Amino acid sequence: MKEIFDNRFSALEACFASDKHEIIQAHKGEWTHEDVESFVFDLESKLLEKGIKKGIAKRMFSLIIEALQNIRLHGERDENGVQQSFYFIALKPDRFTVITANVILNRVIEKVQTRIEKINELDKAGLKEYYMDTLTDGQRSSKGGAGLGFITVAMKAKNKIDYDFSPIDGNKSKFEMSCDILLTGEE
Amino acid sequence: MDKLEIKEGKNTPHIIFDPAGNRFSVAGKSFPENAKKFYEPILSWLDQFSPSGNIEFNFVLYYISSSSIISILEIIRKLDKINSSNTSITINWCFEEDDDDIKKIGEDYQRISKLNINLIAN
Repeated sequence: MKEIFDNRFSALEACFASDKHEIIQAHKGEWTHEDVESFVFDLESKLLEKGIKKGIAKRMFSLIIEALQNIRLHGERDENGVQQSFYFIALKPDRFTVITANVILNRVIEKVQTRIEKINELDKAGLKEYYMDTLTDGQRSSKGGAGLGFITVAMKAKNKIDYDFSPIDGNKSKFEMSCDILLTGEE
Repeated sequence: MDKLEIKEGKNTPHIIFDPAGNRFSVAGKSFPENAKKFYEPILSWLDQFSPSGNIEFNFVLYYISSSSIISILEIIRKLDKINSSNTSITINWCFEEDDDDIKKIGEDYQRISKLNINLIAN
């Protein structure tokens, strides 16, 4: 399973390099909650150094926290007990692209896909309403999450979430998610 | 009732609920990995809190993760229940003038809660 993630990580690295897109931040493999803190504070510094507008930098900070904490909360483990995962933050001429990947149980794929598709179908007002309904309902799962993760990612990105499920074996797949944050336009 | 104080952490806010000093504040950033666990003692403290008179709770946060947003809503809902004919609870939701994200979270709480929630730009 590690090889699948390693190969995909290398392929994305090569792709960004060949397109001359700067990789602002990337990490492969399991991360601790201290790592998440370290990553996001490092990201915040880098973005501000690059002169990225404060509002965009803050949205990126929020999005990455949600994404990385979600993977820690929900990402499944490989045969060696390792939570295989990776993420990229790449800077393109007019946007950031964030890509994350983690292991997912095949039996929850439909639920995750349905949720993302629902979010992608909504316009800004609809997404806000869905967010408010979920917030007001506030039911926490056994893992402590409350269903706001994907909604928050979509709201911060202000764009659709692209996703892909690639089978690993009869039980598990690689779930890869990508979204763009435009550098210009409404903040 | 005893004061509750939790020092600011790398990803958790400074919390002070001090009835004797009439000081109630949640300040800093909130993105603990397990928001439910972090906010549990605060919610338990509020279960024992029986104030009278005018009380102001000040929230001065500059980053809040989605799970923390839910936990803070749980605080606000507890304050909703405490609010009564003997007690008037007001929430001051403070944010930096250019911080639309934090402002919008305050607006969302205004929609959900019956409490008086003031939005205050610094």
